[in-house]
Amino acid sequence: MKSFVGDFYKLLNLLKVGEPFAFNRFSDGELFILQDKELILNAQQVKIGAKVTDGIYKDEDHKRFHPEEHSFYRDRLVDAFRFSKQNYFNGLSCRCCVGEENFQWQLDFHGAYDENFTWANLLVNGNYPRFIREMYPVFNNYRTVFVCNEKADLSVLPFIVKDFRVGYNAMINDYGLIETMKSWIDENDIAGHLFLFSASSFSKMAIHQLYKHSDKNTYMDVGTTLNPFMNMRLDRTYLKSFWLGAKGADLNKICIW
Amino acid sequence: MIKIVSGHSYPSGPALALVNLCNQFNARGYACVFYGPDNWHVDKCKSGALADFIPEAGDTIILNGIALLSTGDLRDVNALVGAGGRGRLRNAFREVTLKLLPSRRPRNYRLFLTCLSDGGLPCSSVRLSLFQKVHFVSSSLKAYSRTVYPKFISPDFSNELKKIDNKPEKVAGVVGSIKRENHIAEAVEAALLDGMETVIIFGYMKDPEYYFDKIVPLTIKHAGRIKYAGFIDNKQKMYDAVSDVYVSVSKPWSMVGQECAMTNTRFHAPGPASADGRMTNDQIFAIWKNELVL
Repeated sequence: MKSFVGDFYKLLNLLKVGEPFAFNRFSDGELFILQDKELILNAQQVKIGAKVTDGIYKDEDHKRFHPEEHSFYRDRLVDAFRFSKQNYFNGLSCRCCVGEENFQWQLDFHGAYDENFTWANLLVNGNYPRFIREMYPVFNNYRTVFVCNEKADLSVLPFIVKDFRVGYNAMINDYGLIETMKSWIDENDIAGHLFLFSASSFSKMAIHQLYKHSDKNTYMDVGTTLNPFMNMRLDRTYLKSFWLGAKGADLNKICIW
Repeated sequence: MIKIVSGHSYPSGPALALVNLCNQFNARGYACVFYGPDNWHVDKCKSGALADFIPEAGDTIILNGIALLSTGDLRDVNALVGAGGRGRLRNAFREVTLKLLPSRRPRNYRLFLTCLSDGGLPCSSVRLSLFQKVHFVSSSLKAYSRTVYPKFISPDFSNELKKIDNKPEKVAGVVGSIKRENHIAEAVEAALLDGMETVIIFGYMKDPEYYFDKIVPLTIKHAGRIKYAGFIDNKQKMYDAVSDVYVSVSKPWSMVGQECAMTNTRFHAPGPASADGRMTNDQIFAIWKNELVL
């Protein structure tokens, strides 16, 4: 029986013992791209397929995916989603967050059940206090590389030894950075490092390709979890609840499989 | 068997003290298990989840941070801890009722209460008559002088730490759980005022709202000079990373001052140093052995 808390501690234990792994996350945004729906997220509008609502996204979160124009990148996302390797943990959107139909779609689209399936939300919701209090301090054990938005301030994080920056719509605009990172790993014989990613859909493709290229490092998509330490906005409900004490049930939410 | 049962086992000074106590018992041939509700302690000593704790005949049970009012509650101590602040009115009524009823110590096992800091559960929250004795980590604890009941003092066991040659310069560590009562922001500012170039905060994120309200503005004001590391298990690594340690609240029972001395780290704290003097682990264990009649 899969356990939201149990899977969290599985990754935490790997971190503690220094066993390399990759944790990739496919949230609703990636789900829509995998479903080949047009996606526009900006200040003016949120367009998912044919459905359009008011925009809420700030510059660094702008995203635009057009199925015909950007099919190459969607294919790379599919590669990341279907990739299977020891200690490659694939975080799926759970049925309690995206609904039964979308959850089942992911399983069908993947094609084979993978023991390493886990939750895309593994580090947030009911696990977020554990992430900050128990997993974050373990990052100090690693020489850590951070991949994040160009606006992020990393000076509060004491474990960072190197950073790679991306801009908006990084999945498309910064795709070439993956090769740059591979070269950096090779040229500097990088092993035993921890790579943290907070770069939206770019993270998914990069984590897949980098873990495939060098599985001697650990790669984790940490999403927006470290925003409070990076002078970035707290615009997610779980962040507002934890750091500002705002009302909301997210911190009590234990996602189901 | 000796069973240490605590209402919390997240990374903090008291939880570390209980881990050390458990390890000392086991290392000296006295089987001991530390039961706690959190996960932090499980890989640091012989441990169990709080839900797995069962009082058994012949046990010596050391209780910390649990509002025990009747021995019956020990049968489901996990529920007692989990209840926390829920149903306060009902709990208050139950507390008053139980305190009016006669009580006696359990016959099959022995109970000891341990008080490890001023911030923990007050002794008035438990029914002292159930316990053989109360352990205090220091005579400077407020509850020590207020408690008229058989009691003994024994400081925390110390960790093995050593001095290193290449200490950094002007790097301050602020040590303590992130919460208002520890005045972490004031310690950070004191370090910066003293000319420290970098300040690293080492502490469990107990109160994130306090961090966001008081520490984040400092990280913006003094951009690039303040870092947050969290609670670091590896004490040697923590002390090796700093030249100075700052705390803003006087805690004479805290091990931080002693550990600074052991690692050649300058220690900046208000108030007097420990009133109980420094003891070796053998001396500390001898107190426990004597008081618990092991």
